[in-house]
Order: sequence, then structure tokens, then C-alpha cells
Amino acid sequence: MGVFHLFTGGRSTQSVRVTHAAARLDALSGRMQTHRNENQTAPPGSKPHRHSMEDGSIRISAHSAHRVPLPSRKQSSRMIDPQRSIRPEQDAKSAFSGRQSLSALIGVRPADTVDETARRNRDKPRLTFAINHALVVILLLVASLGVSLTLLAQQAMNLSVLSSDGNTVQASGENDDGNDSSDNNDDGDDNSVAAERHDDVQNGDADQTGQTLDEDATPAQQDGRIDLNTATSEQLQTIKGIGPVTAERILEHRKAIGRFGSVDQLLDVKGIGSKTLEKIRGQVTVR
Amino acid sequence: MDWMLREQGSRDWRLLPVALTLWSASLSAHLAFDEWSTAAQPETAKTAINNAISTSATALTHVMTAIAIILSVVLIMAMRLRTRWMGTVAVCLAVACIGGITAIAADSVAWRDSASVWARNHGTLTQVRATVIAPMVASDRREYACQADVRLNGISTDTAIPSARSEQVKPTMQRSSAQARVYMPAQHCSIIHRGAVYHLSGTLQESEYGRMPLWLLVEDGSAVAQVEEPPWYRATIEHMQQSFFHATERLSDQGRILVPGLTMGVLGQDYVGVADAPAYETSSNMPTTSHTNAINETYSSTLEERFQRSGIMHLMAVSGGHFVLLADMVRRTCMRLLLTRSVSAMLMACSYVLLALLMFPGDSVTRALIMGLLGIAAYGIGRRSQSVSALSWTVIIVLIVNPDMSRSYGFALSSAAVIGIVLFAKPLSDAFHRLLPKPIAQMTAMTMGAQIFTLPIQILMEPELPLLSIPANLLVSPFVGFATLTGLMALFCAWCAPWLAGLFAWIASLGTLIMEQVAMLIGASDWAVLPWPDGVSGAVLMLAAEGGLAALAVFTVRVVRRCGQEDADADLPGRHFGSTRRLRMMLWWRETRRLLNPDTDGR
Repeated sequence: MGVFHLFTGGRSTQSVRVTHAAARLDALSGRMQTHRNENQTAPPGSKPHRHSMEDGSIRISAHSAHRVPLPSRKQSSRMIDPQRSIRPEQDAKSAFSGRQSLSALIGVRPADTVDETARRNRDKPRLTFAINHALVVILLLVASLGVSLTLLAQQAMNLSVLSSDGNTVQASGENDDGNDSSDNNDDGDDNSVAAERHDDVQNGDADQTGQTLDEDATPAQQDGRIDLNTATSEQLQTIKGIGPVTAERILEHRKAIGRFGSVDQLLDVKGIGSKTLEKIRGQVTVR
Repeated sequence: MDWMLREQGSRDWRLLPVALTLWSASLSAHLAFDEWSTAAQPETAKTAINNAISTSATALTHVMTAIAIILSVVLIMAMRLRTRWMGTVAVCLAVACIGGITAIAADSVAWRDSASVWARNHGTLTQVRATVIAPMVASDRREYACQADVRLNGISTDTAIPSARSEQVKPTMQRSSAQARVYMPAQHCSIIHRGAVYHLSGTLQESEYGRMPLWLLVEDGSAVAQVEEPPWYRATIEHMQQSFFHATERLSDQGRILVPGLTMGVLGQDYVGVADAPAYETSSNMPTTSHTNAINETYSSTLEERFQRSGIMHLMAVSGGHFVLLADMVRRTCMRLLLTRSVSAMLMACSYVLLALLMFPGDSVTRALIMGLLGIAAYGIGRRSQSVSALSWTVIIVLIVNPDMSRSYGFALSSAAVIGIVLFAKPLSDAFHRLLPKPIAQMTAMTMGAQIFTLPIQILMEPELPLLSIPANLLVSPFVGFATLTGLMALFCAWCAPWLAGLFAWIASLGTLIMEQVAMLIGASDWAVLPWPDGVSGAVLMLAAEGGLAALAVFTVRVVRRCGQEDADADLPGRHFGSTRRLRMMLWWRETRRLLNPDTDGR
């Protein structure tokens, strides 16, 4: 008894074992009839491509390639390939007798072979690029890179164009960096933690323009900060957080120590604690 | 070979590795530039040069080792894999180079900007001329009342302390294009309009946290002068938003907080009203600018925290859901009117752009807008819209044109949620459908799919794991849709029919009432969050934990399936039929309904 396993849906191309009563589903023409006739008449010169057995089953040999759309040699060898079969003993038999699989016989068009791809079940996502598609995508990416760099270049160009006819002394960024680093060599300060980066105390810096605006502005107010060593009491009192008493105390402390070396020496002044110092740090400097 | 023959053109995932490569290249370039810029800072004389040399040397070795590793991996892949992967490898290499180039170029331009130079070296008082690019919201720093994001147009570097007296002096300004966040005291809050240009003076310093690189701290008594009016569309939009907030003022507390959050992405307590145009004052006798009475601050902060703990805070950010709702309505209207597909697509695109303008600006809005426009373009030419491909193109275009977005959490969360939903929602929903009814299975699958990739990113922001987020989302999800829709309708008609907007807002507040109850209930429980290690290691651990859970689930299912099967049929094909209990329940339900309603068909 044969067991008949048919796997449909294109899941795999396992070969089908047909042992007895194989159905010939050749629907192109009435081949069944002609073959049977041919079989019975059997002209002398023709190759016997079929022989009917006594038990009525029809065995088809591998030679009748011109009649039936047989699978190619590769596929026929795959048919006999034992990897895909369920019953290994059937493989040996089929290898011996060269049977065909049912899926090789099913079909309407010539393209309906075992390995057909037109009716496959498609269920995997597309993950790989074809070379043409890859080239198109790369072109699009390069175009967007061009757009992005053009925008950035326009921004940078605006910066440089207007800074050249802008202020007289204020140069572009790199000069600033260079001057600052050279001036920083004078002040070794131990509060150079990164968090204090915005608070630059060692400010003998490049933007000394000497421009003053208000009538009560003195040279001590360049860069918006008050120099502790040259400020008067009124100037000190303009700082928020310093009143007249504290201003007097600062002046006295300055007299006592000669000159301020850094803004942190304000902590020694009575009435200025760390909180007050943080508040006024942005408005004072030491030159 | 078999894979290629079974490829589906309608599931085009080819650009997904490309987008991932671009993001990681852009991030690495940003990190490398940060490291270099830290080394290039002039610190004290003693340590500056040594630090710079050592840091740059370590950075250089890092970069060289990274490049060597990547090249070796690529070579090994090229030798091992078949030729069909060469296309993907080539595109990934190209996009990695492009990502690095754009990130470093953008960072360099921002580094050399006059304002950045000023903030780095001085960090003191200055005057700036700035355009407001984001509306005024409540400040996250205690000393200031409100904050707004601006783009500087010019910075002056050479004047005395500007005060209110001397505002007539207009100093010469250097052109700048830096972005900064302005913190202002209460007296200036109501006069800042989005899109207008202002003359500000304050302390410009580098930021300590947040997305903006610079901070401008404006003190009391400083001069704030408006130089240019906002453009007409910005003024119109601001008027519409202001009317919407007036309409929500009469709701209960939770409505005032949550309805604007659900609709526009800004919570009610964060909004700072600007001065109305005179035409609107006729409707009320109250003075302009402020609410009738402010929202209770304790309650609002508690509510926000409970929302975060229960894992439904994502509802308060604008997502693609808003846009999809609106586009759906427009499309159905066009189909009812029998318009052609191209006309319908153009109308949908216009509605998308209008809605994006109305929302409060954010990175998730950008992502939703661009991805939606791509989908509409596909619909317009009659192709099937593919979410993975549209999202990948969105990420690629946005990160190339604006490389700063690779560091944005909002953009990352939004993209991660979409990719999680698109990849995993359907398989999970099919898996859950065996156990649960279909709507619940779909909602659970969508929630889990969205959380798969957003949890590691949330760990980076706040290292805790919301354990009860799936039940919370399940409880809340039926009400989100109609609450959002009514909120949007209130927003659209608030400027012309305030009574109607009030009605819509009240309906939306019914939906948000349920959200508030769920958040208060679930967020208060002790099991709501699980502390987690923070930083990148926490995020990687989270991914590993998710992978472990998934493997465990698959293994359990396989074991259960194998126990229930006979061995003789082990090799047979076909799918296991499933739990009969669920089937019995369904049949019982159907029979009961037929019993109770004998005339209707019990399906």
C-alpha cells in the first residue's frame, strides 16, 4: 500500500511518491487516449517509452521527455534526493525505477514545473537591494546631503559676511579663542571646574573696545563688568546684591590687601557669602 | 535563494538597516564632536594643554578602533554572505559617511557661531536680537516664570550693562544663528508672541540640560522690545490657540490640564497666555492674559507624575493618531463627494500641514507630518503605502537635513513606537487572539508593540520601568479616539464659536476624566514602577530582558504545544487548532445571544 502525501501551497517542493494507480492529469490534449492507443499499437520503430504492467498500473520511464513535461535533470535528481522524503525506503525504490512526482505532472502551462515561481506563496519581507535600486538610493542620499550642506554653508556664510563689516575690533571666533587661551596663562585658578566654564574670570580678553555708552559709564564698565580694583562705591552699589554698607566693606578690604587677585576673594568680605557671590559673579571681574 | 523567491513587494524593509545605520553614525559623530569640543575648551593654564592632548588622543584612538572594527565586520560580512547583500552594505556605508559628515558639519557651524563663542568664553550679560520659534510655556526653573525657544539673529558683544533706561541705544550686532532658550520673569511673559522678533538682554550662557545649547536668562527690569511683528499666519494660529485655551477655562481642573495636552501636546498648567488682540476682549469683562484662577500646582504636578508612573504619558504628546484621524475624515468626505484620488490626496496633505501648524512644535509632530505626507503621496499616485519604508525615509531625510534630531528624545520615541507597532503588532495580535477576544487582543498587541522599543529609550530618560502600563493603556484606549477628535473640533471652532468649542471641550473632558481616574488609581500603587539601572547599560539590559522574555514565551508555547500533541503526527503539516476552551466560550456566547434574541442572527 502506498501512502500518499501531497503538500500543496508551494510550501515545499517535496516530491510525491506514487506507487499504484497513478492518475495522469495531462490536460493539454487527450494524451491519455493517444498514449494508450500508442501503447497498444506500438509501432516497431518507436522507442518503447511506456510499458504497462500486468497489474494495470502505468509506469512511466524517464525517456518520455518529449511527451510529458518532465522536470529537468537537476530536478529529477532532486526528486530522488533523499533529503526531502518521508519514507527513505521509497526513495530507493523510486531511484531504481525513475518515478515522477505528482507536482511534476500537475500543470496547465509549460511554466508550471516543479520549481515554478509564479504561484509561490510570498510571505517574507524584502530585505535586499538590487544593484540598480541601491544606486538610485545612493543618488537620492547624495542629493539630500548636498541640500543639507548647502543650508549649513549658507548659515556659515551669513556669519562671516556680516562679521567682516560688523564691529571693528571684535574678530571672529578663532581670534577670541586664541586670545583667551593666552590670557588664561596668567591666572591659575582652582575653580576651573567644567561647570563654571561660562563664568570666565580670567578675562583679559580681546573685546576691549573702549566704547562707552552712558554718561556715567567709566572704563571700569567695559564688557559689562565692574573691575573690583578700580571701582568706586557708587559703581559697586549698582550691582544687585551689594548695598552701601557692603560696598564700603569691599573698599576697606581692598585697601587692606592691596588689590584683589580674584573674584573669590570677595568671600573674605563680611556680608558676602557664597550665595551672594554666585549672584554677583557675572557682574564683577578682576583686572 | 528560497527567501528571494518568496519576497513580498508589499513589505519593503530594505531601508530599515539603512535608517538604523544613519542614526547610529549621526549619534557617534555627535558624541565624537562633543568629546573633541570638551578637549578644545581653554581651561586653566596648568591642565588645559595636557587635558586637550590626552583627550584628543583618546578620542582619536576611539575613532580609529571603531573604524577598524566596522571595516573588519563589513569585510567579513562581504566574504561570508552572498552577493545579494552587497547592495545593502553599499547603501549602509554611504549613509554612514553621509550621517557623519552632516553631523560634524552642523556641530562645527554651531560651535563657531558668535553666540556660542560668547557663551563659552564670557557667559555674561549681552543684548541679542532673536526670533521666537516655540511658544511661551511655563518655565522648568524655579527662578523664572516662563520660557521660550528662540533663534538668535544677532548678538552684541561690546556694550555696557543695558538697562531699561538706555534702551534707545542700538548696539552693533554680530550675525548669529544659534538656538537658545530664554527664561523670563513674569512681567515679560505675556508679550512674547511666536514668530516675532525681539530685542532682549540677559545673561547668555551654555545650557546645563535640555535640547537647546544656550540659555538666555532675562532678569527683572531688563528691556524687552519687540522689533518685528509676527507674520499673519502665526498671529492667526496664536489667536486660535488662545481661544481654545479660553474655551477650556471653564472645565474642571482635570479638563483644563488634560484636554489641551491630548489635543495640542501641551499640558494646561504649562501654557502661558499671551495678551489677546483687542477684538476678542468684547466677550468677557475680565482682563486679558491670565486664567480666571490658576490651576492648583500640587494637583497638576501630582497628576503629571501619576501619568508618567502609569505609563500613559504618551497620550499627552502629539502623535500620528491625530493626523490619521483628521486624514481619515478628509478622505471619507472626499470619497463621499466622489472626488478623484489626486484631489483627495492634495486636500489631505493641506489638512496635515494645517494641523501641524496648529499643534505645539515638537519632534514627534515633525515625524508624524513627514511620514504622513509620504503616505499621502503614495495614496495619491495609487500605490500601497508601506509604513516601514515611509518611516525609514522620514528618518533618513530628517537626519540628513537636520542632524541635530538624532539626539532628540521626542523623535526617537516617536519613531521607535511606530516601528514597534508596524513590526510586531500583527504577529502579537494573532498570538493573543487565541486567548482573548479580538478587540482586546489587538489593543494589547499594539500597546506591547509600541513599548518594545520605547522602553529602552525611556530608561535613558528616566530609569524606571512602568510595570502596569499595559493594563493602564487597555483601560484608557477606548476613550482616546473620541476625546482627541472632540478636542480637535473644539480647537478648530474656538475662534469663531466659543460656545460650541466649550461644548466640545466638555465632551473631551469626559474622556479625560476616565484617563485621570486610571492614572490616579494605577500611578498610586506601589507596584507601578520598577527601578532600573540607568544610562546606556540600563537600556541594553532592557533590550536583553525583552529578548529573554520573548524567547521564554516562544519556548513555553512550543513546550505546551508539544505536550498536547501525539507523537505519531509530529511530522505532519498543518497548524494546531488551538485551545478548545476559547472556542467553547465563543460558541456558548453565540448560542446565548441566539437564545435571548431568537429573531436576530446570532452572529
